[in-house]
Amino acid sequence: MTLAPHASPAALPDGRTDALPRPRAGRDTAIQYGLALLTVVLVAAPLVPVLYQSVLDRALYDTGQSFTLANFGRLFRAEGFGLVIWNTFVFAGLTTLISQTLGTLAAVLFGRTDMPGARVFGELFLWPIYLSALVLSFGWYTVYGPAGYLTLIAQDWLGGAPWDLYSLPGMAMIAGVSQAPVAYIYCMSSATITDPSLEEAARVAGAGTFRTLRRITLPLLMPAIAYSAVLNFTVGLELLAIPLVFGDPAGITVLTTFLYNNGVASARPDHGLVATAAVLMLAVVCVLVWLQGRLLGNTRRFVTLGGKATRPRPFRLDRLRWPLFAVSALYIAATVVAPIGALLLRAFTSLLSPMVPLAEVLTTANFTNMAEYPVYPRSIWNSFLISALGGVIATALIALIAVIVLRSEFRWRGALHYVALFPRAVPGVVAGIGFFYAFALVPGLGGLRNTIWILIIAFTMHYIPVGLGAVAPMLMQMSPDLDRAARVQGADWWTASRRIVLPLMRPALVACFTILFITFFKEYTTAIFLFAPGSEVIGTTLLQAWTQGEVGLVSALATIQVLVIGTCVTLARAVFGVRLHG
Amino acid sequence: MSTIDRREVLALSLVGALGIPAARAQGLPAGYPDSYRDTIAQAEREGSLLIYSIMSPENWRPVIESFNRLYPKIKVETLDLPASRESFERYLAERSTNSRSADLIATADPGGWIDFQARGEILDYVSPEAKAWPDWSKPFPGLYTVSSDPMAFIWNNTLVPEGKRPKSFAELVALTTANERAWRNKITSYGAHQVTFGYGINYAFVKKHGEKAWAWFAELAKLQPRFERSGGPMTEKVTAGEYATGWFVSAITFWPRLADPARARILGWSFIADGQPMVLRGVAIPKGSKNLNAAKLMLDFIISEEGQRAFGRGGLTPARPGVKPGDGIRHTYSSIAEIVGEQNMIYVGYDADALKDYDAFLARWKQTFNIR
Repeated sequence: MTLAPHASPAALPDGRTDALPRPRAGRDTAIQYGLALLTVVLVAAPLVPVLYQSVLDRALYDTGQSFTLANFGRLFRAEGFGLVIWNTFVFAGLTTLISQTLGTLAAVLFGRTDMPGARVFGELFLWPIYLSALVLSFGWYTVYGPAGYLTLIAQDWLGGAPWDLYSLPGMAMIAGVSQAPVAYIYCMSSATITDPSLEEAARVAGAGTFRTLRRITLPLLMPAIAYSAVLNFTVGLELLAIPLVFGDPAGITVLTTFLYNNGVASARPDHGLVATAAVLMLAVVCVLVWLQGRLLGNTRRFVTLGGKATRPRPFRLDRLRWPLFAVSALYIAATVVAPIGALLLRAFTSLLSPMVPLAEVLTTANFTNMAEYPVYPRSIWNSFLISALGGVIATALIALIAVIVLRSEFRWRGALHYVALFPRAVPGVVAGIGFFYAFALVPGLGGLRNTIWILIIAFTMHYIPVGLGAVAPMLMQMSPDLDRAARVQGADWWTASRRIVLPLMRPALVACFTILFITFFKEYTTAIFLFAPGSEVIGTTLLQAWTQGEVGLVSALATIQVLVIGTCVTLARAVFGVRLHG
Repeated sequence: MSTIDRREVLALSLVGALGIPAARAQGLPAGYPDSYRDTIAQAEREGSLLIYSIMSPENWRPVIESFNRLYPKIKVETLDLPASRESFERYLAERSTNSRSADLIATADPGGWIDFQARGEILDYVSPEAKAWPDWSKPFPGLYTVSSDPMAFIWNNTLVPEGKRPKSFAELVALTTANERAWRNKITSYGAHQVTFGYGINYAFVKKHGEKAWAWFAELAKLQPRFERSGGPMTEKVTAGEYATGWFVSAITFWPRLADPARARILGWSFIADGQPMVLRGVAIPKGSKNLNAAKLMLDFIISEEGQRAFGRGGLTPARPGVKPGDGIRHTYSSIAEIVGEQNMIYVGYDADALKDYDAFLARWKQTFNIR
């Protein structure tokens, strides 16, 4: 494979790349239009009903509705809504601040210095991103919650715990730690493409380690930091689990819990209000995603494998090596090992309290209970099916979209690319609400409601951009000469794609599938509005078990999720050498 | 984690296996009309039943097991939804598109039932068991009662010393006032502003006690209670010591958990002598039911003496008068009436005023507890 950064097929103004023969264009066109249409329908399906509901005066499924804009007025006049908006922005803002600080520090420390164990720390630092925020929240609750182990120890020693998870900063801390890997990944990949000669120049000019860091390295990281900051801010806006577990009992409402409370849990569900708030959220995220695009431009996409002669030299920490090692070890122990460890421990106990000796409460009952009630094994099995089957289907769809967008002369490929990336701007909750309405609105689709297909469809739609992110770089690195050679031999676009391009993309497709498998397996926000009897997934049963106070079951289910994702990550990296991020 | 003692279930199944066939020699429960045979035959042809409820699988298990011993050909599925109102919402959405929906709804949401009745969605079904039930349990034609579950006090035994444990609301207020600083953020209950369940209980309580109830609430508000959406987390968090005590905690969520001796040592509970809220769980067949006959069989079974006992074993509080505790049933409507006196029971039922007064009540509630 050669690197051809600017080999876009759109070389000639008439839309053709070369004077290639165009045999059997009919089939190509049919496939391209068909797939483009499918993608448009998939992306529009949840959005149209949400927009529609937001301007209706009563529930979609009611009779005699009329159009109105009153919902918007009602939303903004709704008591406490101003506070909800404020909380949402404070939460997302603090989350971003914490995750960017931690992520950048980690990227420099683990990626650019001679600290002992840096590689291992870097691997462990990534772990929170493999697990859902839901599972992490339960882990944090067990350790740092008001009656958590370390909280009680801190109370004994200090007379009061210095942290309070039932507060905006507390919640942002958990969210920040779980999102820090995103900042880390962006900074790391940015660090590997920056030109090391700049740092060398600073060194030659006599700058010390910290001066070089401050004046050269960090400024070079700024685009990556800014880009991932917008990403993390968006995630902060969309997060449901952490505000639900910690904010709700303390009376702190953010936009997602507002939607959850008014849409799922309310005494008087107000569909107009829910849809309107969803539209608002959609609008904000759209702006953010647009901003993200602006920050990075289109340049980054094309710089994948950098052709560099030298590797950047690691910064020497000297006397600080071991102190920083200790700090890093403490951080990993506190944020990764302790919460996951406590979760596993809770799964094997009937209750976890410093007031009761551990030996008295050890049990496997949580797992036998889990196995006994059909809903739990079913939700695990469903999660498997959705991740495996859905992962394959989504990968196939994404591969075709990528081939059309990047390797065809399809007239609307630019528009298709835009549509395919649009779900980035659709928060999971909004997608869930949207598909819920869509399936309630379109006659004949009701039959799908109690099956896992509705979830496969929703998850696929929601994660097309993630999959594209895994597939597109490889496609852009692949020389178009290969398929052009086939075309010269008389093959049409479809044959060339099928026989040449797609087989060559195999490693990228495996990576795409793995990423989607993990993502689908931990997904819960999209599913909350959609699951039905028979189509529960681990995420929905986890949340249900939590609201029922079945903490033992929650921990057992979370343990299964951690095990499956852990195995998957390890296999993918060891066997297939898949890079799961970047 | 609540579990049903396995031996108990086995023993009861044995009793069931031996006892029931005699009473049903004709294949019909005693006192049922002959035409009921057709209902059974048609229900078996339907072969399946989907129930929406807010009860967990543990609550349902003994009921479904007993039901399936009688009608093995009917496959029963339950969907327990996190919010009481969701049963109706889901049903309405699904009915509008003719997709599969609930054949039977069992949920504790009086306001929801009133709305549902107003929409004309409740099938007017006269159960052969109806005669055995008092009027308060049959508010609308076709709507029956699954259970009357007491909302009790719970506390953490290590945090609330013996002798101080509350038996009445007045004692609870005195106890919390005495611990005002230490217990800030450490008491819990249902928020009236969060779930209908909480609204119904508090509304009924205020209706009984009037201004005195508000004065009590104002005292509790000084400790900044944390409100939970369901009894499970309250139980779990009181056990863990996150909360010292909780009021109006649904007994069905913590009774089954007391089967665990380690938990039973930590978690204490009591009825409320000066006003014991009893939440009525309604059950009815929605008009869109596709498996109408199977739904009728299940509804009849749920409100029969045997079905009531089965729900009792599943952790609910049988509401049918005359059903007594024992055989794995901790309490029933009748036994609670004996303990607190029927005059001290507060039915959290189908009070049309509760719908009318919603906004005014909530405004005062939020002001009292300083909820924004």
